[in-house]
Amino acid sequence: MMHDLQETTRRHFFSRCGMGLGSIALGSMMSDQAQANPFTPKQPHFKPRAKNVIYLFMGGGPSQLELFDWKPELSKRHGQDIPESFIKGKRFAFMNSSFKKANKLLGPTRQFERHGQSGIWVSDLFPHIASITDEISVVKSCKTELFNHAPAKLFMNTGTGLFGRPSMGSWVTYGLGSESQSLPGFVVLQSGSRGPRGGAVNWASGFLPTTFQGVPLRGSGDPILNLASPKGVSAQSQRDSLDALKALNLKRLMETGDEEIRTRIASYEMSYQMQSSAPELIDISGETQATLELYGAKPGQASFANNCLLARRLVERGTRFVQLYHTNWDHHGGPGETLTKDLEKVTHDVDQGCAALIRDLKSRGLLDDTLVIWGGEFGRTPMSEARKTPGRNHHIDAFSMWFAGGGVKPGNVVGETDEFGFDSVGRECHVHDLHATILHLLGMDHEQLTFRFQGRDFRLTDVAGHVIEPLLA
Amino acid sequence: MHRLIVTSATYRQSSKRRADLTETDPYNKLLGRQSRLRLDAEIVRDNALAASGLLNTKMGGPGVFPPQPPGCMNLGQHRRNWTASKGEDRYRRAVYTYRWRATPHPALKVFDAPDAFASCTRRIRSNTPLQALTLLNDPAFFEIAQGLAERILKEGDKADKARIALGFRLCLAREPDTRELTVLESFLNKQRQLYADMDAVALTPVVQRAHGGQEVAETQRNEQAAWIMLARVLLNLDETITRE
Repeated sequence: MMHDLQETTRRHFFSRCGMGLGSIALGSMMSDQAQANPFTPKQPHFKPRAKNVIYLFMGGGPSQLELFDWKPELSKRHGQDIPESFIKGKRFAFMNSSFKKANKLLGPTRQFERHGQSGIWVSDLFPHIASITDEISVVKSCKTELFNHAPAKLFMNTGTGLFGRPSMGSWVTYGLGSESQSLPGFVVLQSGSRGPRGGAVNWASGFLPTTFQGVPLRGSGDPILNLASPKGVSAQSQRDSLDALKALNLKRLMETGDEEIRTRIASYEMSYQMQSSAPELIDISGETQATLELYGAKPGQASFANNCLLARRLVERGTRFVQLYHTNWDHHGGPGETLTKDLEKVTHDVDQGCAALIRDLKSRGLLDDTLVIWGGEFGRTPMSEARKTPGRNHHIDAFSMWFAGGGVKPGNVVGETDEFGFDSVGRECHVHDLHATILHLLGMDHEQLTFRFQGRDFRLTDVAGHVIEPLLA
Repeated sequence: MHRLIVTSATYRQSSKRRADLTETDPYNKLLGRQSRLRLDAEIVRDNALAASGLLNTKMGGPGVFPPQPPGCMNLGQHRRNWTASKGEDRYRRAVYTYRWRATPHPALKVFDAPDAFASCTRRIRSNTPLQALTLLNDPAFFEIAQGLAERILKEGDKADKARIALGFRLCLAREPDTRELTVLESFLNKQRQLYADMDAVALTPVVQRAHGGQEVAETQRNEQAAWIMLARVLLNLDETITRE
């Protein structure tokens, strides 16, 4: 048993990561560098359209009906009961409390206009995003399966509502490695009133090695946990310690022949490099005034805008997968969750940063290689919830996300919804389809990116998923 | 049954790679040698605590709160506090660590401790720079290095070589060979030089344990700092966190 466990674990670094990928270039994995470092860039299955991902996760479930999905019919029928046929047999969050009394349709609360050459509808809440419609693809027919926040976030990130599966960023770095050898391959940034529900499971590596888990970049203190040497330990002392460790570990490697020690040595050296590269990364004071203004970023002041700028700096430095979380988008209508001032606040928090990120990536030639994803874990109902003010409940049958950059068709809309925005029509885009498409854009076949666990091969898309062709350029 | 396994001749073989076996049995299916395994997350901590003499072997009782860096409890929906245990609970075995689901203890998580959401049939053993940062810089592990240095200076003979050998034995359960002694001795002397001129006050965080240690005399601090650096190297060795 013991040896099996060890060998299995060793193999996943040195060859199995490759085997799972089928057509991977095994030759390149045999070099010393590759053996010592699981993040060494790996060849995808086919020519990728994007190399990196920036995922802007809007935690709480943004209301598509106030942002991208303009429903004039819903406006006309405001205050009427939703026809029974729509909701028969459906389940909703809070169905036994406030929602039960509330089947009245709630018309869109914002003004909508068409924007750009593409004529994509965007509400007045997103003046900046409205200016980049010709760069993005809005998917209006997203569907998910779970209507509570934490399970739905897990579903969006891992393809299941159960704990213990790897997140998308983990799968991607497992499949592709990372271009950066001095920063983590999968980085998580947070802003807003609180962290996302579920916490660490949203960026966990599940049954994959923790090598591939998301590394939170911290807003205060060390940017990466335990990055700084202990107080009073000088840089020279740290370097000397690493040299002594290297000498003794290398000696042990020669004696035992255990290649895992080579990996250990490389890990220590990379940790030393991170001690200088991570502080350099988060120091945005060297950005031009024009760039800071574009984002609305302020050095030293943690915000979504700063995180967008950091996301660009991360992909510039070769980090494979960057995920930003911003809360709170949960607009039920209660205190702190109104469709009026609270929605205005959160849209204002993110609008400029999102648009700036797309423009900045484009002007630097990075947008072609970077897939940008915007969206939450689900959408919101066309019916009003009876709370203190009119709000909307969680909704899984239709919601909007947008995509931009590497391989995404610009100025494009995928899918539609019915006259109330209740259900998706046309090309339905299930979460599994989104995952299949994201992997496809990165040059990976979602059916081939597998990891054997508990006796079977697991995938991000498990046994489902179809690439969304209309989303592709 | 465990005794039968661990006292068997097969289990007690050397884990060194052998060219002949590498060829005939690359995955060691026939158990021609022992296999090197990185210790499990909890044991990485317990082992360091045991070497330093700080370990509290008390069994059972409610969960405890070994130190963790500030800010780790803010990653989930709720911001929580983590007040590190004091007294004997600070150095309990890691299995007694209190668990929050959304914000697991980072030093356990980083060494592949399972989430405890579902049954774990096989632990993965990763090998990452974040583990290096944890063992080198995490305040809890630095505290253990301070403890180990205290122990070496208290229990060891006066001679450097003997003290180094004691620390080595405590971490690796074997004697250092000449080459290893040389590397460590020259490292120790270099650290003595580095810390020789440092102000005693500036050295306080280096030599003074955050909790429970005895006050280190000002005249002793420069020397103590050098030994703490040595203890830290010993605790960070691949062999220390590996079952050979």
